Amino acid sequence: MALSVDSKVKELMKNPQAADIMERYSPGFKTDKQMKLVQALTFRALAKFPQANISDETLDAIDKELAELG
Amino acid sequence: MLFKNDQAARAQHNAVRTNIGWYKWTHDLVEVKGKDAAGFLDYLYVNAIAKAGIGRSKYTTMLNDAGQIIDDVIVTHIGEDYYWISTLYAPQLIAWMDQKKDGRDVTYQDITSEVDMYAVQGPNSRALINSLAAAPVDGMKRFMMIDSVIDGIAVKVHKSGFTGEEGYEIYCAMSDSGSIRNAIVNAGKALNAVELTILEVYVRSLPVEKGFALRQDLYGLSPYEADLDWSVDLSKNFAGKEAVLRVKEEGSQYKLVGIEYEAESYEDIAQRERVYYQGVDVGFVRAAIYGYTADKNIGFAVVESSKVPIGSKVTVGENRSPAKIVNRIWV
Amino acid sequence: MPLKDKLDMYKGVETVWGKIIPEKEAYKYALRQISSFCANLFQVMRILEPDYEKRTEAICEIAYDMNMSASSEEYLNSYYDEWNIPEFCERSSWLGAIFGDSGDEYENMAGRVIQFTRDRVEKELDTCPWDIVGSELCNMTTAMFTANFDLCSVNNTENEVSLNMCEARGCGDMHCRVVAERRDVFNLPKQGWLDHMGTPARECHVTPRERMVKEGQLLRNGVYSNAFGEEKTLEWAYRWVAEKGWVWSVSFPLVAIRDMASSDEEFERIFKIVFSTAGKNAFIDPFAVEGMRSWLGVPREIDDNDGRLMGGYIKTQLDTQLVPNELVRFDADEVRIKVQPESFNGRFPMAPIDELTTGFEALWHNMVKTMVSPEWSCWFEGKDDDDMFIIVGKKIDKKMI
Repeated sequence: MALSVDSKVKELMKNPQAADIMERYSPGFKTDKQMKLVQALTFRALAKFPQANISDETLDAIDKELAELG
Repeated sequence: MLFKNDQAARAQHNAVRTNIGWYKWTHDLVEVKGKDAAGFLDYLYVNAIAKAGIGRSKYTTMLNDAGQIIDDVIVTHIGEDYYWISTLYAPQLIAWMDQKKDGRDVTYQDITSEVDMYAVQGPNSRALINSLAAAPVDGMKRFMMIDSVIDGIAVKVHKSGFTGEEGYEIYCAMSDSGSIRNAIVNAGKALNAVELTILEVYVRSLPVEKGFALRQDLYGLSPYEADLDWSVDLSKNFAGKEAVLRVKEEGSQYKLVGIEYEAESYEDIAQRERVYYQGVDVGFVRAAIYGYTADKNIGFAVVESSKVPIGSKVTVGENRSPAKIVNRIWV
Repeated sequence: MPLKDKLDMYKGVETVWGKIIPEKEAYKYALRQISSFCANLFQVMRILEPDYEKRTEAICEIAYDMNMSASSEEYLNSYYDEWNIPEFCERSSWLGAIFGDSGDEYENMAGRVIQFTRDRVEKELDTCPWDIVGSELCNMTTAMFTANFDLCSVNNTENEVSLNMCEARGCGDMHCRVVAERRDVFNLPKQGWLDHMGTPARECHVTPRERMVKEGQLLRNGVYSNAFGEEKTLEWAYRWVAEKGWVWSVSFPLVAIRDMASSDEEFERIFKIVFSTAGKNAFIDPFAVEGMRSWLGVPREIDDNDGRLMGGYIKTQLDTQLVPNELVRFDADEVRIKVQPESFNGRFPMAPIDELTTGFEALWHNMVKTMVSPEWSCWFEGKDDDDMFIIVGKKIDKKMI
């Protein structure tokens, strides 16, 4: 199934290429233990929390790159 | 909690009752300045703040619009159009002041982080202060504040305290706190002054024996339900006056009373524990502590006073711990 | 005096058959449901990691890290303001005890703060809904308390206090007891995760049985009061627990427990087996179903082979756990309850737990076999959709498990 910002964090973490993309935009994505706590959230849902510090523009950019993974 | 056999707590308690005990204890401090400062404070508080001369303080409660106590403080007239309010809850006070300011020419700010305070309490506290401070304190009346110097450091000395004994509060700039502390320690050696380190001794055990309540004990009551009639100046307008007048005229069901817990200790009694008379709920606990001078487990309760007059035997909590309603002073 | 116009209003959960479960009872039940889920999860952990020390250390480390990360300075400051912690109060390690005390009482861990000084804090409990889980959890909570103390540390250093849970009901003791003592004052060594169940430096105060309490302040008095007079109501605490009770006791250890499995598939396989076992055994006693019927107010017209017994039970479970739900179908052929995965799994919105769906499906599917009969099954549909359906219906499966 194609990955996007509507994929759950755990699915993005499992795909190495997707995880690299996420790490670039959200440093700590691959290593921060708290990501395992939020892994059942979609990334879009996670981005809504202010602590995530992800703007709408960043979210769109991530979505575009994830789509290119096919 | 404090227990009968706690020798450390007993020793600190007794030091204040028989000699000198001292501790660092900064309430929050709010500084109020401006042309309308006196009038504003007179409106906020029930007591006659505007009548306090420079260097004098007043104990007072503050009411909400329903006439219920929401704070109890000491207001000190520091200088011309300049007051200090000693409270435990500066952020809440400032929020309330914002609501009630109503365009008055007054400014106020929380200066707690700038000022430190040491309480020196006990029948021999005067001797310690006199050995420390440049200005003698012999002639001071209670709730009087003077400027003085300790080891070259400017301080204010306030004759006041929360222990029911003669006592003084030394205010200094936060940057001088360490030096003032050292001065007290050194001067205190000759007089066997004891530093109090157990919070519950100086916040509860000592004051409760003398009937001194914290805000949380009074919260939601009218001054008349807390035996604070003497502090209410009905000749002026103040926030909550209309409502509190109704309570005064109609009387009230509830009263803050003393309570003695007859079991060996009070582990099963928390704040707001229910009080029962003949098995029926008549109120709740506000304080429970061991008083080392009274040598009893004592405290306060808010009860339906018509059902449980002074002397009534009651029970407290789910274990039906035996207790007695008493006057709110033991020592 | 004339008659009252109507009955007074009290809060409660109404079962599908109109029986009212009072708020206090619902709150206690909700707590026990959370702790029961946690207990089952810990059995999964014991299968995946047979070594007691290894699994205990793993969950301790995670719980510490999660607690530390969850609390920013902004959170701490708003906590101080909300709780009226006066500014005079030195914000040092021992204030961590205030966090711990309020959290305990919200979760009906009844007890008291025995000592509360700058150098030493002693907290004693008489009850704990999680006392069925086991000592690994007791140990894990010491790691969380360590985080609380480290967060409040005036020097921003770790481990200023030595923390010992020297008694635990989960270990068979009469009380739970946690004692924090300043290491510099009592000359105590730094502790590893497994060193927190030791003996404190100073003697403790043991409340005798006649002065123990059975319920926390919220159930006894309707409010919890902290040392500074701030109060929280039962209603507030109920809501808090419905969210946060899952976080520390399920979400935190889950992070470590998932990693104990060699694969996601192995984790899920063992997880389902454990929850299935728990479900199947829940109603085997002859008095179990009768007790439940009485508790839910089930009329006799609902006979012993009616899926609505299970459906009514599930609805009450959801209601007591404050999970929004809608009864879509409730007849002799099927029960269908609509929920949203967002709230069913996301009790704490920021940390949803997919395993709640997996666990409750396994639990209830097996529970219906003994509560009602093996003709009935329970399953969830639409797990990845906006609406999810919990269904109790008849199914035939030649490989039924």
